[in-house]
Amino acid sequence: MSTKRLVMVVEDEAGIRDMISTLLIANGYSVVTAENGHSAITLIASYNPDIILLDLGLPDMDGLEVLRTVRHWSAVPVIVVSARGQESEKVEALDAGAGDYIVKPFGTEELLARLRATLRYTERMVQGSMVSDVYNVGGLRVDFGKRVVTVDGKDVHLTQIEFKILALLCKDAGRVLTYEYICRNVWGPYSSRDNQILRVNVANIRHKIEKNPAQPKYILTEIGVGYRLVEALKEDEETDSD
Amino acid sequence: MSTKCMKIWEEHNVTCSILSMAVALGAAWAICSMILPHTRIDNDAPIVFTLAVAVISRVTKRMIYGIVASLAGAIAVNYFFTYPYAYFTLKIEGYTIDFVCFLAVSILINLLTYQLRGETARAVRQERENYALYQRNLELEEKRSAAEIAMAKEKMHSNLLRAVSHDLRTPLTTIAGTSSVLMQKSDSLSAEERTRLAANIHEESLWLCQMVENLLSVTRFQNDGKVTLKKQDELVEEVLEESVTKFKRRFPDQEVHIRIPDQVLMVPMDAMLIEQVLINLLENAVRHAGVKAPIEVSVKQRKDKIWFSVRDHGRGIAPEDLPKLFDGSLHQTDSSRGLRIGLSTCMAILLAHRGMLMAGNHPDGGAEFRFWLPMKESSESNEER
Repeated sequence: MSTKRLVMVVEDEAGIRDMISTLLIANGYSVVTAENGHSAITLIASYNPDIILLDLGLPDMDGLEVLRTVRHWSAVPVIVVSARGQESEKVEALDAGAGDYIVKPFGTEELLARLRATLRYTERMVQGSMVSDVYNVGGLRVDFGKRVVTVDGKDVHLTQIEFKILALLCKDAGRVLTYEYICRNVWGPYSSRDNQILRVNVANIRHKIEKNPAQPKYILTEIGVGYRLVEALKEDEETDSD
Repeated sequence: MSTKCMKIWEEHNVTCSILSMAVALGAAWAICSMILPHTRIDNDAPIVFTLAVAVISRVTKRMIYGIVASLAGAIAVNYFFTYPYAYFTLKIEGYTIDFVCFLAVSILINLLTYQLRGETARAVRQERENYALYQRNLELEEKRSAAEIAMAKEKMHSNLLRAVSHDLRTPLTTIAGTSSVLMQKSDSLSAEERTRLAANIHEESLWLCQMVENLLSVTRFQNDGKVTLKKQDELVEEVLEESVTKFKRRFPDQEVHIRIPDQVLMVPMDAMLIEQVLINLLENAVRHAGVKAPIEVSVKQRKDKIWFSVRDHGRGIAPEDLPKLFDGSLHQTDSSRGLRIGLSTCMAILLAHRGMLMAGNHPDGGAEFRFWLPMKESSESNEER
């Protein structure tokens, strides 16, 4: 008997809770649901789920508060579900330890993809396979030890800062890194709050490694939040060239 | 200034002038009287009196004081300070010439001073007038563009209201009806029929989501007429990237070609709203072009504006419909549904950014929507309006 992954769905809207549960069960997950923050905290403690889908707008308490409470005693991956346009809330959730976020209204495929990616990432972290010295996706190869970047076999020259940013994104491939997180790790804890320099640097990296910087394959933008380096290329994207 | 005030001011002025005339002439007389016993030379006096006249013409406002002072000076020089003293005569040789020359020089100084003052005053007045004119022009300009923007907004809002009632009801009817068929007649439907009906519901609800986002954006501008844009310098390529990614989630098979300049372009904008404009234009292209050909998105910088273009290779916009696209007179049909909400939203967003949206047909076929945004933040753009 293969053990099914247990997903905890924290959502106060019955319709959405029902829809997500049905979808997840149909895709081979086990589901526990909670309709408010307090019962969520209790249930998380007793069920110890593999991953949590957490709606930020709960009736009894702020979703962020649930996240912070859970983080006191558990490193369980959390995907927050937020309404559109609340960039600051998303950033706050990511900085508070959420693995990823998804915006309502979301597609079912998108939800499943985020779940899979976050679970994979957590597994990699647990197994410690992140010590790998090379990141390899599509035609992009980043060798951390030798500090060499190649695209389709050709050397790409990056500046010190550009390499630092790319390496940081590679190490957390598949996850959104917030502007602040990247700035802090590249320029140090006292770097300015302004993210313009970061964005210009990322634009420069893109111009060096992407065929079409406005349709990037590797570094994806989450405006108002940060950047995400793809974990793997979709097959259909690989054939899509112009 | 009232006439009474004018009068008082004028009287005050006359008194002042006469007083200053008397003081200057008296001073000249005193100086000459003091010098005369020591030097015993007559020709100091005219110079001293000329100075007095010059001072008087500079201080007083009217030419008459200067002329009177000149005359008084000439007589005083002749009477007090030329031989025979305390006696007026023009009979001694050269005295007539002295008298006339003194008078002439004094009056000339008087005239020149007066003229100079007139010119200065004119220049000052001119300056003031020019400034006032300039201010008025600025105000006019401001009012005109404000009026234009207000009109465009007015049009857009009424257009939007008309569109909402019709365009939102249609998909809701489909969703409610289709889902009730699925519930009640599920047994008598084949699996394909069920999937097709569910797909219709899915499609319509996604469309509704987009329209609700549009309406939410527009209502953001209507709170007591103040714009609440979250403007920030954004990288154009990132905004394009995210828009196309979101668009492709709904239309994964639709090809989109993007062309952007090589340089890094930072433009102040509310990224979420500009993305919405792009997504609306992309969706319009898919829905109304009638073909599967790729949609082309391009960006160009021209002077202080950044131009975006979304072009399809479809049947284009009927020439008679072109002028109606933005004024709300477009005929309400189901095929044009969403066009009005979408375009009104785009227009509202761009106006709030002090940009503009335009529609046309490309010379090589297909519809083309273009819009521009100012590259630089104008001084007051972030405040009201």
